[in-house]
Amino acid sequence: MLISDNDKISYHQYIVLMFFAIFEVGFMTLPRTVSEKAGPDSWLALILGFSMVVIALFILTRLSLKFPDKTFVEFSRLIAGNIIGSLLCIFFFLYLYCWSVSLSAYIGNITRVFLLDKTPLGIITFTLLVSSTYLIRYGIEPIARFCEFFLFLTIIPFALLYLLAGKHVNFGYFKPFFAEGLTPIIDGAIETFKHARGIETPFMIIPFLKTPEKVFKGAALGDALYFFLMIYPATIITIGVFGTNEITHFSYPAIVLAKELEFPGFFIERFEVLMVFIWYVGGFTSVVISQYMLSLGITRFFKLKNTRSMVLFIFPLTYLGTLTFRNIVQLEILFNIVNNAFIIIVLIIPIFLLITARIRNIKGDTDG
Amino acid sequence: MLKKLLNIIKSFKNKKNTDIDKIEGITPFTGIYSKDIEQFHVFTEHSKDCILQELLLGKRKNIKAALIYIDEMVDKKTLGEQVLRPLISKNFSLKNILMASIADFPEFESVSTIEDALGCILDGSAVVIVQGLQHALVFDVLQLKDRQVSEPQMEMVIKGAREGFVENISVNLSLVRRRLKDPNLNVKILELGRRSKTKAAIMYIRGIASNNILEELMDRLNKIDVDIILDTGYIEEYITDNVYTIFPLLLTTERPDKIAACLAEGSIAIILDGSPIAILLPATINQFYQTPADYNQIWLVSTLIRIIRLISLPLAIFLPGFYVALVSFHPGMLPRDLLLSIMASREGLPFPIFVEAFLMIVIIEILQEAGIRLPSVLGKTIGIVGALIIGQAAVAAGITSNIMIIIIAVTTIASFATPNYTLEISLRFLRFGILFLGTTLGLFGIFISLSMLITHIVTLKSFGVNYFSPFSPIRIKDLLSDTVLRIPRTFLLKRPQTDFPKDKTRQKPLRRRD
Repeated sequence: MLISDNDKISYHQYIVLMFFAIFEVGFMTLPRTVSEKAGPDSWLALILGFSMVVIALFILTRLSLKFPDKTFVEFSRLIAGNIIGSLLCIFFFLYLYCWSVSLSAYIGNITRVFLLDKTPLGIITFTLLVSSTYLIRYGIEPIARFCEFFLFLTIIPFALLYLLAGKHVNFGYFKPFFAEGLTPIIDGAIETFKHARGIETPFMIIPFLKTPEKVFKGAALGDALYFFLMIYPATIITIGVFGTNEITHFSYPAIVLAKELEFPGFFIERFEVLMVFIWYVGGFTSVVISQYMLSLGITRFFKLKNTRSMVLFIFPLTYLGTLTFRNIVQLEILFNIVNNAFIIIVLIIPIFLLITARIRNIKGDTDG
Repeated sequence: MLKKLLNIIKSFKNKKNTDIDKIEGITPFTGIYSKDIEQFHVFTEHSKDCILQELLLGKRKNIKAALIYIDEMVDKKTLGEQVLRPLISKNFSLKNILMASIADFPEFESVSTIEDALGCILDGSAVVIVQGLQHALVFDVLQLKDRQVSEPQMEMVIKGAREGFVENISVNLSLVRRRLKDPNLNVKILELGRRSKTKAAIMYIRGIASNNILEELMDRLNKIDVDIILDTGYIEEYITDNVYTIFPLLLTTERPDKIAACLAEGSIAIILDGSPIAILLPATINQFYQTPADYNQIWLVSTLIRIIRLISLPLAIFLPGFYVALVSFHPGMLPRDLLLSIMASREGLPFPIFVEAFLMIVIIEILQEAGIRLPSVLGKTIGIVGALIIGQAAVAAGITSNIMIIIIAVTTIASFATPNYTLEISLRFLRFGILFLGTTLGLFGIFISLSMLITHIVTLKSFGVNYFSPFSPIRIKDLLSDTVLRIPRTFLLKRPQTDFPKDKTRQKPLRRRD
C-alpha cells in the first residue's frame, strides 16, 4: 500500500486517545463518591486528585520513555528478569481483563437501568462486545480515529447541558471551607485518583506513537482536557445544584441532573438520554482500549504475530466474565479490586521497575 | 541454484509472451496486392457493416487498390470529396503518394502491419491499400453520432455551468481543458480492455497532484486485464481500495467544472471514452457534500445550505430507527402530548411499529426504483399514485399511521438533500440495519449501530487517503473553511490537505483597497 501509517498515531490522536482512555464509567458516580468523602471541599479534592494523576503519569511515562519501542510486556521482563517480569505481566493482564469485564458488565447494567429494563443482560453485553471487537480488530489507528470523531460530539453537548444547569448553582453548598481539616480532602483526592483508570495506556501504546518523546505531555494534556472540561464541571455543578447531602442519595448524580433540565418546546423531554449517550461513548472507548491493550499484551507476551486473531480469543473470555456479574453490588466488589490493582500498576510497579533498573544498571534505549 | 530457478522462471515468462504474440500476430504488408487484401476479405465477410471497395487507379487504370471502412462510422461526404476524388484523379501515381505531393490530397498516416490497419478501421478511419505499397494509408474520416453537450442529469445546479460530459472522450477532455489552460495540466492516455480497447485519459496537474497517488493509480490501472471496459463503473471496482463497503470510495461526476475545481485541489481525474461519467480520486467523504453551486452563492447562504445538508444526513439514516426505538422502548422520553398523538394515530393498527416502518420504507424504495425506470411523463404518475393514493389509502385502511408516513417522508426527502446520487443511494440502505438494531435494542442499539458505522468509515481509505477526513482525523481548518462552513474564497489560502497536494498554497492573501 502506498501510505501505510496504519499502525502509528499522531500526537493529536494520542491526546484524544488518552482523553477517552480515562473517560469511563466512573464518570457518572464520581460526583457522589467524591462528595461522600470530601463534602464541600470536593472542588479542592478534585484538583489534588488530578495533581496526583499527573505525578503518576510522570513516573510511568519516565519508565516507558526509557524504551520507546517496547511495551510493558517487553521492558518489564528486561528490567526485572524473566520470572518476576512475567509475573508482573500476568498481573497487568489480569488487571486489564478485570477492568474490561467490569466496564462491559457495568455498561450492561446501566443500560438495563435506564434504557432496556426487560432485555437480558447477556444480549446487551454481547452486542457491546461484538461492536468493540469489530473496532479492535482494525488496530490502534482506527481506534484513535474513532475517538477523534467523537471528541467534539462528546464535549459540545456536555458543555451545553452544563451551561444550562449553571444558573441553578448555589455556591452556599461549598461552604464551609476546610471544615474538617485535610483528611477528608485527601480521601476525596484518592477517590479521584482511583477514577483515573486508563492512565496506564502509555505502557502499551508507546511504540505506536509518531512522537514518543511527547508521551508525557500528550497524556497530561488529554487527561487535563477530561478533568477540566468534563469531570470538574460535572462534579461542581452537581454539588452546586443538589448540595452534598442530597447528592449522596443518588446513584448517578450526573444523570439525575440531566433529568432535571427542561427545554420547553423541545421534542425530547428527558436529557438523560444525551447524558447516557455521552457516557456510552466514554465507556465504549475504554472497553475498546482495555481490550486492545490486553490482546496486544498477550500477543507480545507469547511473541505471536497476529493481534487480530487474539482479539477474537479475548472476546468470549470477556463475555464469559461479564456473565458472572449479575448485579451492581457484585460489580462494586470487582471495581474495588480493580482500583487497588490500578494503584499498584501505575504507582508501585513503575517505581519498583525504575529502582530495579537503576540498581541493575539497565540502560534504556534512549539513555544512550 | 537460485539463479537456475530464476532463469527457468524467466524462460517461462518469455515463452508466454511469444505465445501471446503468435495469437495476436504481426503481419507486415508485403506490397503484393492479392496477398494483402486476403486478410481484409476474411474480415469483411464476417462483418457486413465493413465495406471493401476495390478500385483501379492511375492514368491507365492499372494500379489495383482497395478502400476499406466501416459504413456507419465514417463521414461519407468527406470520404468522397477528400479521399476518393484525389485517389481516382488522373494524375495519381505511386510516386506522388510516396512524395505526398498531390496538392489537394488530404493528410494521411501510414501503418505497416495488417493488424494496425484493422485497428484503424475499427477506430473509424478509412484505410486504403495500394498495390506496390508496403504500407496502408489511413484517413481520419471518423464521424460519430454524438450527443450534444447538454445539462448534466445527475448533478443539476440552479446557478452554475450548464455543461455536462458526453460520451466522446475528446469532447470531454476539451471541456476540461477549456477551464484549465494550464500547461501543467497533464493527460496520460491508456487503452483498457483487451477487446473493447477503451481509451482512458488520466488528468492531473503536475506540481499539485501527489506523485505517490498517481503512481499507485497507474499501477492499479496497468494491472487491469479484462476483456471489456464499457463504463467507469467497470474500472472503479478494479482500482478501489476496498470492495466490501457500501460507501463510494471514488468520486464520480459528470460536471467538467467540478473536475477542474478538484484537479486544482490536487485530485486526479479519469475520463473514459464512451462514458459521460468521470472518476475523481482520492475521494473523501466531504467532497460528496460539496457542489459547484456552493461557490456561486453568497458564502453565508452556502454555509447555511451545507449545514442543512449535514443535518439531513443523520436524519436520512437514523430517523426511522430512532423513531421506532423511542416509541417501542422509551415512550417516556417523548413529551406527553406528542406521545398521546402518536398513540392515538397508532390505535387499531394491526402491525407492530417495526413492521409498519419496514413496510413503508420498502414501499418507498420500490417507488423510487420504479420512478427511475419510467419515462419522465409516467414518473409523475408514479409519484402521485405512490404519495397520494398509497399514503392516504394506507392510513384510511388502517395499515399505517399518519406519523409513520411523516417520518418516512422526512427521511426520504432528507436523503435527497445529499448532492451526490451515488452516496445517497448507498446511505439509503444503511437505514435497514439501523432500523433493525433500533427495533431489537432500542436507543442502545442506535448507539451500537452508530459505533459500528463510524468504525467502518474510519477504516476506509481511498488511495491511501483517509476517507473520513477531515472529520477524523480532525483537520479543524479544513472542517471550518470548506466542509461544514464555506468561508469566502478570498480566505481560502491553502488547498485542502486531505488530497496530499504537493503545492499547498492556493493563493496569496488579497489586499482590498480602502
